[in-house]
Amino acid sequence: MMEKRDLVQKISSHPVIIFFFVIVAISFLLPYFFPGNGYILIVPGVLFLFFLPGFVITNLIFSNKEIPSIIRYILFLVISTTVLTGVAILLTTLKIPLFNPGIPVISPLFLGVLFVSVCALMLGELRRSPCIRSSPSIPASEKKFLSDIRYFRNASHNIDKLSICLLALIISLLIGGYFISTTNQPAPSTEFYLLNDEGKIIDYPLTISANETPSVMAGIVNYEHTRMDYVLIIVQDNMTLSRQNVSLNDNEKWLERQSLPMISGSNSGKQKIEFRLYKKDEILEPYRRLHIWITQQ
Amino acid sequence: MDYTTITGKNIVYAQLFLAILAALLLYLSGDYPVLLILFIILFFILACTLFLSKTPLIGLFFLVVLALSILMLRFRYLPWGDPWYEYQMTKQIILGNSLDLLNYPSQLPIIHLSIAALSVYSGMDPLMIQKFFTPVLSACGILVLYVFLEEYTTKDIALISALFLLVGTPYIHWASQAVRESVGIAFLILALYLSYQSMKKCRLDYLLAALFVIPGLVLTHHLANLMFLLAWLAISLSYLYCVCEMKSVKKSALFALGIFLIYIFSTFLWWSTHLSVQYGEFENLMNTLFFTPLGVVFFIVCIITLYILPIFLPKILLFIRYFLGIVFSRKKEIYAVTLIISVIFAGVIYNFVMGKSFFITSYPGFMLINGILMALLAIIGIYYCFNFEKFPLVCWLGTMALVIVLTMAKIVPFVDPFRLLEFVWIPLAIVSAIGFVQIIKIMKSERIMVLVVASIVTISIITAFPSMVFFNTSFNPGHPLFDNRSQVISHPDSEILTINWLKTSNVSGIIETDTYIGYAGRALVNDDNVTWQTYFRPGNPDDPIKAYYYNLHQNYYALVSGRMPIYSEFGEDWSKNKNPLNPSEIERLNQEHNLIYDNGENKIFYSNLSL
Repeated sequence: MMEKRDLVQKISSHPVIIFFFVIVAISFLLPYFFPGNGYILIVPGVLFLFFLPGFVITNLIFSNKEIPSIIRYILFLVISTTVLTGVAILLTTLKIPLFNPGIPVISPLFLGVLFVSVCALMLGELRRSPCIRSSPSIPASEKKFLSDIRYFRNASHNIDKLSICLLALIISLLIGGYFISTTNQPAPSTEFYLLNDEGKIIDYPLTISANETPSVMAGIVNYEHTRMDYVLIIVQDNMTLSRQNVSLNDNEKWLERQSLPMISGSNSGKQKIEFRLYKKDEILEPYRRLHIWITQQ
Repeated sequence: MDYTTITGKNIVYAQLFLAILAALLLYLSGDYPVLLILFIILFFILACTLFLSKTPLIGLFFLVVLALSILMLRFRYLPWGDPWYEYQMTKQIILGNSLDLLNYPSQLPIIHLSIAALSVYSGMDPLMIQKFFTPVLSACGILVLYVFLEEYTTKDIALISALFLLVGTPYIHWASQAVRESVGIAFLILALYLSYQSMKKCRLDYLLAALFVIPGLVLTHHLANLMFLLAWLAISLSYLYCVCEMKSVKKSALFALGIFLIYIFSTFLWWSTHLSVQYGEFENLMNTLFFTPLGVVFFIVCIITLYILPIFLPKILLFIRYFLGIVFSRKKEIYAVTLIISVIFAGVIYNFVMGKSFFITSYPGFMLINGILMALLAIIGIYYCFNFEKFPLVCWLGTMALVIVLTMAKIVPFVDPFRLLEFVWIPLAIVSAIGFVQIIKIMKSERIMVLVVASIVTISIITAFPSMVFFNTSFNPGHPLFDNRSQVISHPDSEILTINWLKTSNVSGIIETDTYIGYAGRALVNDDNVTWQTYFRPGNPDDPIKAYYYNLHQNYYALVSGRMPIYSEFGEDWSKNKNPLNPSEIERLNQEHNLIYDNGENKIFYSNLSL
């Protein structure tokens, strides 16, 4: 029982170690529960990749000296990016892939960063060890960091009515901003395109034999944010080859094979086949226009 | 950090509220341009509030992040061309799973790898991370500058310098783009801060921190890295020879030498193995300077000698300081000489900026407001810098200005001298702030100071960007606000739709288009089977060099946007007069190629090159 209490006491006298392992635990466990959920994982990702390595190394470097708080926090970020890159360069030199596409969090890069961070943490603890230093007290750097955290914790208890109003406004703005950003739509548009017989954008029937009837696939995608009624007219030498009505809901796609029976009498040389897409209520001027040049041999 | 003074007035919450509201208004201004007026008002108020708090760092952070996010909030996709290249490099790291040179040609991995790692970890699109993570990293530079100056000058000078730098047209142009430069400038300022502290205070911990930050700078951006060398040489040598106390000069010299050696070792190690082009250029420059093929060795030996001299021959310092004392005693004469030199420098820079040199530009006059104002304030401020204490600052500014003038006058060849301007803005902002504070001292009114600074900051931020950003239009030629770069600062939805159509259609072949679409296309399609040809005008097979590209592929595509008949750039057109696609070129495309895609704004023409 006594041993257990000693252990708890020992651990609680090392708040930075606790802080470190809490972040590591969160960073490695959350991706299992929320795989690929960017909005949830971005915070532990930033903490693990852009805070933790810099945090332990900065505390190691500036263990007993004061530096401005903001410089300390910036160093957390900047040193972390350097460590991350250093590990990546080492892995590349050793021909080890950086990421593990199956389980991203177990990537060599992230494990390397964790290894460097643990080493820096251990070195820091070693410097604090009573065997090396006469006083085992918490170093100035950690004290400053903990006092900053304590300040924010206390500040949340001591906020007045105006603070609450402002915080409520800030939170509502953030929520509003999130919804606005997710509902903001791109400019309205209609895509009109041609594919070859196999649905690819190569090998169009540009040269055909005398009795061959070429065909292509015509596609329309409606991004107009409303239902659209189109008319597709295929024209050769101002002669209509086919006419078709197409109605599409927003974000709906239409793709159909179009046979192009070449008009007799004009079936030698290079022929222009035009594909005109009209809005049903504006039939005078084509809304979109495509063409291919077919040479009959 | 004394938080109590600020939270008592709830000013931090108010500043955060203002910043978020302003960001939201800016975001919505794409659909409702009138909201930009509200944004500008909020921005002005936010700038004013910085002077109300005893420790304005948190508010400054909000303001800086807001200002640096303007382009990202204003436009749905990445702006210009360079950010797309960074996006492409990030994707190549993710797809190639390594930093190998064949897979990742950029070899400046700090920003790309950071975004790639966060993207892989979180599953978030790297484009979103690049848009909103990079401005936060950039903001660190301004905060460090504030802390740096607050320690050695006054709070007012520190805050005004930080704000002047933030809204400096060249600085905000690069810092807000989410490119390597954006982070490179921040790393440079932090590296300078740590190096200076290490040298001045003879503290090993700062040197150790620099041991991480300087290699980080080397891995971030080669130009920022080189500018650090020049800035450090100017600052450290002038400090050692002219400012440092004699009793600590030996120790300080050793620390300064340590910083230089860390820099040289990390830079040459990385450049010689990974950035051979940059290393070759540096080597050539040194060989030319020292008239020997061992120019780099001579350079290093010279610099080491300069750092060692104060250790072994401290009497030299006494002689230099005596001489400098005489010079400073003739302050007015020196100031007159400085003014003459400034006028000559200003003439060279003005000539260049107005596009009358080897670089064709068409910046509207109103974009120069910030530069003219900074120059005028700096001319006043420099007078108050002619003393021992501020001599390193004068040397820093002088070195940066000299480099710019030499490159703009083509004495030292450099492809794009505009890329150097943001580095001169750091010392220029400090000297301007010193000048501004001196003017305010005469007026003896703090209120006026706050209002004038906030006005300068707000006006500068509006005029720093092409008119499309704040006026939502590019104006017609001849209008004083006309700026044809407004045409290419953003990539419209229809353009991205077209590129994504090519991607989902598994395009393979050569795609001809202009530079700006090419940047986005390479990043979004990112396929080895596709060659984006953006050097020569599309649709014209007569160009002999084109035959090389044409022989590589069977399928030919030309992506022509609605903007190209008004504004387009191919190859080296950024340094020439712009020459948009003419009607005969478009007619030729129509007559000789098959039009296979049309979304109203963009068209794709196709030909089979083997037929």
